[in-house]
Amino acid sequence: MTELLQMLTGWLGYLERPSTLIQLAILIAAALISGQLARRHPRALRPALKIPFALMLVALGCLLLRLASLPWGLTAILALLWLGWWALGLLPHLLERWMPEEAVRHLESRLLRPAYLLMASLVLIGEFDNLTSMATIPLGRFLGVDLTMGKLVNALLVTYLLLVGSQPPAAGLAWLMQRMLRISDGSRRALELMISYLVVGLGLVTVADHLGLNSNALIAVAGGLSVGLGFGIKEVFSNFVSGMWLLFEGSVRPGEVLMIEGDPCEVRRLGLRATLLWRDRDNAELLIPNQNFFTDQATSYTATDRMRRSQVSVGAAYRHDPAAVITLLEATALEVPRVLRQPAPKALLLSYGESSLNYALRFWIENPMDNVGICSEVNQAIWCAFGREGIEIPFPQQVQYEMPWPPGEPGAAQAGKRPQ
Amino acid sequence: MDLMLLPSVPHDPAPHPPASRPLLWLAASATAAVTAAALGSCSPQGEPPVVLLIAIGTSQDQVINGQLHREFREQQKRLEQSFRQLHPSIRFRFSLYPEERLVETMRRRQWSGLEPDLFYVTSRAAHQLLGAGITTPYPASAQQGRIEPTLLRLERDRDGTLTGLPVLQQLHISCFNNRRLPQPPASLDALVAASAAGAPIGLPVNPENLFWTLGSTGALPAVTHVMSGNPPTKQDRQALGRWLAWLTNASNQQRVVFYGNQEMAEQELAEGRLAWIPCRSTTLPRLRQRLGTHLGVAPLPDGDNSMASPVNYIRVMALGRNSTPRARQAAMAFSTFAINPLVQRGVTLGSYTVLPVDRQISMPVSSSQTLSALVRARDQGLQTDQLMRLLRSGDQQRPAKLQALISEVVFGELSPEQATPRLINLLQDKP
Repeated sequence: MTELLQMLTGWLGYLERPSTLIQLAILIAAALISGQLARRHPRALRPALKIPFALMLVALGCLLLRLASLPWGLTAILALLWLGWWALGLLPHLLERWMPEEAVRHLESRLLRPAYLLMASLVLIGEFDNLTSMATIPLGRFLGVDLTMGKLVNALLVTYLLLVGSQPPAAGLAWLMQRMLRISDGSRRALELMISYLVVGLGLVTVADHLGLNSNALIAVAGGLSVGLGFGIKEVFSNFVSGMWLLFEGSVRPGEVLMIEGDPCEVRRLGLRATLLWRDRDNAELLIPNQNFFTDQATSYTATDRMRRSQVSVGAAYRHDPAAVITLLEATALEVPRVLRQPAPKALLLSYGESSLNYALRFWIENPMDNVGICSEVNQAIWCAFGREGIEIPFPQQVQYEMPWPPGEPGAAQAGKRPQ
Repeated sequence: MDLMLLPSVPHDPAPHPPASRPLLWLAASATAAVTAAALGSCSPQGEPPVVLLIAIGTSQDQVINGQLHREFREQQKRLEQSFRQLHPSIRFRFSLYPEERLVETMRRRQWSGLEPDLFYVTSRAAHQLLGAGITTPYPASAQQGRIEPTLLRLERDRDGTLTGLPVLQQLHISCFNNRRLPQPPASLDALVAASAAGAPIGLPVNPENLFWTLGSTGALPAVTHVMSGNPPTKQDRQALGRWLAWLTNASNQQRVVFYGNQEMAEQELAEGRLAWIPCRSTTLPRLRQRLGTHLGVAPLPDGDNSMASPVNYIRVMALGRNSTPRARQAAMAFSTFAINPLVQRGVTLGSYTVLPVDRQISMPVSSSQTLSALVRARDQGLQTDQLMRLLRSGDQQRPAKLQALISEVVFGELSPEQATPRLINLLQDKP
């Protein structure tokens, strides 16, 4: 570690060289001039053109340095890296033509920009030092292994790439498996997650092996961690294990529809700690710890199939023949496009109400998340059908009258008025 | 403190810096702060510190890895500790570079003005660096009078300028496992006899590591004669044919293995699978670590009537072109310090892997077999000076072409008779 610090301070030696300072000064001056110009004279230099203008100034500076036979490579490299960074900002707009916005955002923030920063750092360090030599700088011993900078950087890089980059190949493989095995979409998503975890797990083991970590030492660390798990991060670990269990069990998988506090919610993502669900009613996303599903009762509409039996209630006047009403209700349900023909809708006379005979119309729908919309459509269809067939939907009538108070005293009528 | 060294932070006349440029301000402030912190840690004498950036060249035989880094680090530490007693404000930062790509790498760095202040390289690399305009001629000084004149002459360019200051000599010797080979072979015949007796021998195909056999087979004068541009005589052809025939004979031995990679041969020796190999003196610590007291060191085997001709490396310190005056001064002070008799003796006796360039320092050869072998290798190597000079001035691809030809000979694809005219063409720099 001392050597690493010595290396970093060693690079400062370059800052003592006038040629280095001149090159940096050109770059800083170009940035300041273009910034000032864009701010004070936005008509002359639009903010969007600030960076290209600054880079043109840098190019001019490089030309002057070259004419003066002074080193100019550092300025040119920094300017090119700046240009690349600026161009990287334009790339998402282009990608959004072919990819969803969220995917582009993820790609940009998790892969493109970190990769560019890494590349830029390597290019710059390559100007100051020899990367191969730097990689051999010892950082100390870790679990019986002499850790060098190269090993550490490689391990971190591979781990990061595994975490970020395992998703697309896993999705591809899961898609292929779905095609071959004819599994459902939910199972494909579960398979995708499992493949992703497997790749990350195997990758981490390979990284540990590449580092030369002693397996006995790893077991000892795992033993120590298990004690820590018992006290400190019990909840995190519990959620992780619950998540894995649910995934293997297949009860909570991406695409499943669960009833959460009376609302159907679709599982969007099963994370290591919590499950992300989407609620249609208010477009809210719910983040629920995995162990809740593991310990509490949950209602699923998609455990074995995605169909849901739904129901609307309606009252009809006593004078109508219940058999005719039932036939009409069942026929009406079949008129609604999103109501399934099979299993067939079923109407029932449920009870004798105070002012009406109470019926229930039960029908099946394909997607549980569409329940509210389809119920509305069925209710509208019933209203139209009852109107057409002359079937009355009775409702209690309220009659308001004035009651004398105290009874028998004519003058007390106003004072004794009671609210109805 | 020399405040002029601080990078200038541009002044923004606006009362509040705009939010769109916080990164720029942050970077400028961080640079200023770090520089100030670094320069603020002045030496006890109050002088601002100077960081001396050193590039160390590694040969083809050396793989840049943690172990090599440690070895150089320890060598540097030894020198640095003594040097900093005299110059406490000077600090060091070294990096390893493969010499075969050093010129190319440094050309690129020179473009940015970021090349090192000091190069610690072999004589050949020092000539290349000066030729490419990456280093500057080393100025003459009184202390150079102590250096062996032959070495100093080797370091001079055609116009007499000194490419770098010779500091140490790294020798080409033989390493053997004394459990498998109690006595090192003193001659080429003894080497072949040892292999016939059951000792596995490793030989390189790399020309520089195989040129010692030119002297032992008596072919060295023929090589230098042809390389000097003279038409090959009958004796030259016979001598070159003799060398190639010896290589063919050696490769026909059951227990002689040719290695394309010196590191691999060293590995085999360290693991006890080989009994004898030619080796560089700088690898002794690594081999000693693995073989312990079973590592034997001896000079390379001579011939019947001639000495072996090992190519020894002279390590020189060459000055970078783009240094600040203070860094140049520090580089000069450090290189001059490195040829101080006390330092030369200390480094030699502290490592037993190098020899001094100071002609006045005598080595206690009778007390150490290793030192004795090193001194003998130095004497043997004096005859290859002309060869190395000729190699340096000719086609830079010639060593690679020679290696290809040697490989064809030792793998039996070319007979010595077929290979001799091709070798002559190569030595004459003919396509």
